[in-house]
Amino acid sequence: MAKILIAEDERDIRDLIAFTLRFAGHEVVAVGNGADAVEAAPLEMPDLILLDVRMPRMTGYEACQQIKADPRVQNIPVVFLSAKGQESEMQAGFSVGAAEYLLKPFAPMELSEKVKELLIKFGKP
Amino acid sequence: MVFSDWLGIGLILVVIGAGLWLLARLLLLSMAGGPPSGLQVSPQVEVVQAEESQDAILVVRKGGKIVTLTRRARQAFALDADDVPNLERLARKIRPSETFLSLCAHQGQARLVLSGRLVDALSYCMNIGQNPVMLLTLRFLELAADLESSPKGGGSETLQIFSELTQTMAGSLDFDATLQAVQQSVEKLIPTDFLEITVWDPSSETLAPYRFVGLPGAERKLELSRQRYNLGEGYSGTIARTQAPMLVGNIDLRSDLRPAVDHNEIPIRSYIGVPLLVSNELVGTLELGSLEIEAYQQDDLNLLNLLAGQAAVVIRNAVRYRSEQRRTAEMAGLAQLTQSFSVVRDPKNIYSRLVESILPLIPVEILGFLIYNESNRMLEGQEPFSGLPFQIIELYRASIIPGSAGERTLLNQDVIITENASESEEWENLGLSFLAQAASLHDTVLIPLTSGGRMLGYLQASNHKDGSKVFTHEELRLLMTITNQAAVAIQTAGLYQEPLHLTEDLEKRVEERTTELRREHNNTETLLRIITELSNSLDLDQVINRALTVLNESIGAQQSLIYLSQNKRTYQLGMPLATSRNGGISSIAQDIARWVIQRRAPTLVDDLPVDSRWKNHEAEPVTFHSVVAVPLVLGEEILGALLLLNEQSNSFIVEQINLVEATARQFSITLNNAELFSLIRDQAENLGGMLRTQQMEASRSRAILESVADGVLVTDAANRITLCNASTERILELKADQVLMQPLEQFSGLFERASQTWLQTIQKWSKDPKAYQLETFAERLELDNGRMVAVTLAPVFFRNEFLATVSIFRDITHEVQVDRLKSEFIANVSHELRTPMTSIKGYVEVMLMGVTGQLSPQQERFLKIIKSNTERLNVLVNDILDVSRIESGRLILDMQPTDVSKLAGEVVEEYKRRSRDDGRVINFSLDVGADLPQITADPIRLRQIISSLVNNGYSYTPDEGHVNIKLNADEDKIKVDVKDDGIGISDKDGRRIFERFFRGEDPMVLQTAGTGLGLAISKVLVEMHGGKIWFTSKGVHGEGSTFSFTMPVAKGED
Repeated sequence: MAKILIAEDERDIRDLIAFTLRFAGHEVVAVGNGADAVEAAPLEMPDLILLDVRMPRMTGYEACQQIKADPRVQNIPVVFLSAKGQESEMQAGFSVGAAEYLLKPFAPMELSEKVKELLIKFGKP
Repeated sequence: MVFSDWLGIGLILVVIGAGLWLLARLLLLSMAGGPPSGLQVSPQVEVVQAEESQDAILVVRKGGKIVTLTRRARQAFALDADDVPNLERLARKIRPSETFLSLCAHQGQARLVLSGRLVDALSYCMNIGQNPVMLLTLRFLELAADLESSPKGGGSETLQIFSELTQTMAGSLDFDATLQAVQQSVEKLIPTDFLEITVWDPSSETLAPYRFVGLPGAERKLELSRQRYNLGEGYSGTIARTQAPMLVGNIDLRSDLRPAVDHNEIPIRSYIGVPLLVSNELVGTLELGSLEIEAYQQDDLNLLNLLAGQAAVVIRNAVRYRSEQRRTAEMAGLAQLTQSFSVVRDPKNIYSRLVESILPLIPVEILGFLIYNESNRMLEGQEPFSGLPFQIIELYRASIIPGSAGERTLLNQDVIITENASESEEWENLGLSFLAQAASLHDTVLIPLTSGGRMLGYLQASNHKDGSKVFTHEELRLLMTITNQAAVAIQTAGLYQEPLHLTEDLEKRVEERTTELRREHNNTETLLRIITELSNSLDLDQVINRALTVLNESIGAQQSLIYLSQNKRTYQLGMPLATSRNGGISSIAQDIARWVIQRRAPTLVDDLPVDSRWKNHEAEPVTFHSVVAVPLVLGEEILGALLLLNEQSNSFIVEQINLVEATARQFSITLNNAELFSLIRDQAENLGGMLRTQQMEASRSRAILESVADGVLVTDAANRITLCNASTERILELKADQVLMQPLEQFSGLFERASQTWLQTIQKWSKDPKAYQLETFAERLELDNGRMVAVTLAPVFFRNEFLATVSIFRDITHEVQVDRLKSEFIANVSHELRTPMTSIKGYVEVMLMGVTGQLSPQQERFLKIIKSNTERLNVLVNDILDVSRIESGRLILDMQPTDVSKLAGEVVEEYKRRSRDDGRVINFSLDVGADLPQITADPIRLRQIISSLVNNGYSYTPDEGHVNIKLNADEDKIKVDVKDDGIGISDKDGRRIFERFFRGEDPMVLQTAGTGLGLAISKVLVEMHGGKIWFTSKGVHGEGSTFSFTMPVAKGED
């Protein structure tokens, strides 16, 4: 199973994601904003990072940008999971280095499936 | 009297010479206060008197040969009796010689100096046959002696003045000049405000006043009043009757008599007047007036009286000179007449010509020629013998027996004057007494006709028209002159009888040719006048009337009329010969007009009633006999006819037709011009009216355009700005006057990228109007100042011709702002909705997975309801976001090669899964046509479209129903059909099915979750791909419907 870092300011959703991923057998490190995610990433060295976009202290875009700028963690695939579903917003996510952009609301089973696909894609066990 | 070769000339010379001599003599006599001279003298006496005259008389042939000199002339020039006179020699003795020589060549008068003495020279030209001669009289002037008794002067000064005055007065024989001289002379001696000279006219027994008008001192003008004064009338008449001077100190105090002159005209207050008398014979009066009273004294009257003596003489001389001049002119005329006689070569005509010519000059009842035929010795009256019946003329002959008294009388060549011819001895001798009796000849004169000494016969004049009266001296003189000339003519006629035929023929031809030329000339002149009249004005009636007047005059027509066949209109001028009762033209005239119109040829009718062409009008009254009719031709067209009519028959000749035809051509042109003019004028008025209407329309349109809130900008075919209304100025922040008529390129810098498309479109349309395919250009321009402007552009075509473009500008800055706010709002709301939805959906699904423990069937059902509604909410949010994107124009397609069958398969699988989840039994099927190509499309959006259609099929098809998807290639596009056997769509709903939020009213629809946005979004997406979407349905419940759409296979893709 893999280690996944999630950053989500909404606690309910953070819990839901964490629950879903743990249920799928993954180790989950959950933080409440982008800044914490940037901070946690090199410490935890997760296999995958899931970021919300709109978060306090630091948005997901900025967080992704910093992660991708950090040589220690830049190879960790970053996936956005956001309610912001407009083309421009998705485009912005990809432009800062995201591997995938998933939309809310999501079905937990589908999320698990997607994460599984991505981990395989990026060679994570 | 001796008759010689020179008889003719001599006689005239004597007569005139005697007349002149008399004048000169009377002048001298009266100046010297001598006795009067009788006027009734016979020619025989006068010859002697001329020889005895104190005047020197010369006869000079033109060319300078002196023919005759009187004794007095020889004395004056100091010539001996046997000296041969030579004009140059004489001229050396007289000063100025040139004037003298000039007088010998031309008629005139002058004052000359001969041997230290003043002479008045006077010359006449006498036309005698082919040889004119000059008659020259030299009269010696001597000053009157009685001037010394002048009451005023007594001094030499007055005498001097008198002497000068007399000379001045006598200086001219011209009547007007004489009166002027008298006036000037009088005014030098007596001051006057008014001067009138009256001249006694014995024939009317009245006084003719000659008044000098003008201010004293200035040159006064001579004026002959039409008024005539009778004897005893006014001052003038009284003076003339009493032959006594009159002095009126104050006119107002003399109430019994008024001056003849109108007081209102010249308010004279005092007056003196004297009669002008020559030997108690009245010449006239000389009258002076002053505007002041008592302006004249007895001395003035005396002086005036003295002056009047001189004035009377010169005025009478001038009067006589005037009548003499008239007579000379008359004689010159006669001479001319005779000359013209001499060219008459036919002796038969000569007598009639002579008689015709002489009759008007002599007031006699009987006039004719008695010609002596030497071969048979007969004296015969010649036809025509005016005044004698022809049966008498036939008897008017007498045989002249050799040696008889008759022959002697004849050979004497005497003028035979008698008061009663039947009792005359000479008539008895000639054997004509019986005839004189038969013809009742009373006063008769026989003037011998001689030529070269031969006796040709007599000119006879009998029975004076002015009652029984002896022929006067003047009449005899005239008759003799005529006779001499007639003799020459008769002689010439005889001599030239032989070559007559040759010359006659030639002359006839010359005459004919002359006549022809004259006619041509007249025709040309007439035509010119007519053309001038016709081109004078544009008033057709007026010019035609004037031109017809000219034509009538020159052709001799009494009526002319123009008949126009097209509108039956007529123009008529002159007598109403062919005018019908209703003012039109009579039927026969119409017939004649039609005749020439049909034949396109002119015709001449000499006598209408006998012309066979118009026999059908026999019953009608004949109002005219002669007609010239010509068609009015203009090119190939016949406008009508021109007719000229005359009551008399044979009034026109063939030669006139040319002129009438030429005139008709001018009329045709004029009529045509007039018609064209009126046509053009009407057109101009129409166009003017239309123009005014259009201008009003244009102004109105312009006003409307100016007042619309949207900016309107019009460019013409050359891309220049022709209209820029106030709103455009406001929206684009420019000034109309800076851009009007400027090329559109000026705009290119004003706007950003969007404006380039706009300009390019305008240029494209103007360069190639066919490129326009009913599209409308609509763009948003973002101005430099940040404002947003919507521009709509459309071309203006008129009959396939590109005229202009119209651009409409609308400031949409505010709308864009609102739109953006709306989009932001929707985006935010969507986000805020999705966040709780994520929780609900996620946790419900987690629960449904059974992760949180075993669920009761009811719990599971409730959770599924929550899940379904969450999904419905999600679809709604997505649709709203799509609509927002579409409205704001932010929806951008990500075009890439797309496999439609794969997408359709995914959708089918999704809905199969969903139907299983929902527990519904719906049969989905997918039919993919052979060789279905890949297309270029946005796969996400294409999937959205197919999904939306399948969703509808799924939602509105009852359980056990079918939803079938068919994919087919159709030429350069693919076609997708989604068929269901659901509720179908009614016609009413069908019309609105693609509208947003429209869902119809079927209960099954209403109980099914849906936003009413799916089809609207699908339609937009299909069209954005360049495809079409539609549906077919029978509108019957249960028979379902088919939604179809096409999408182009992009080029280069198979």
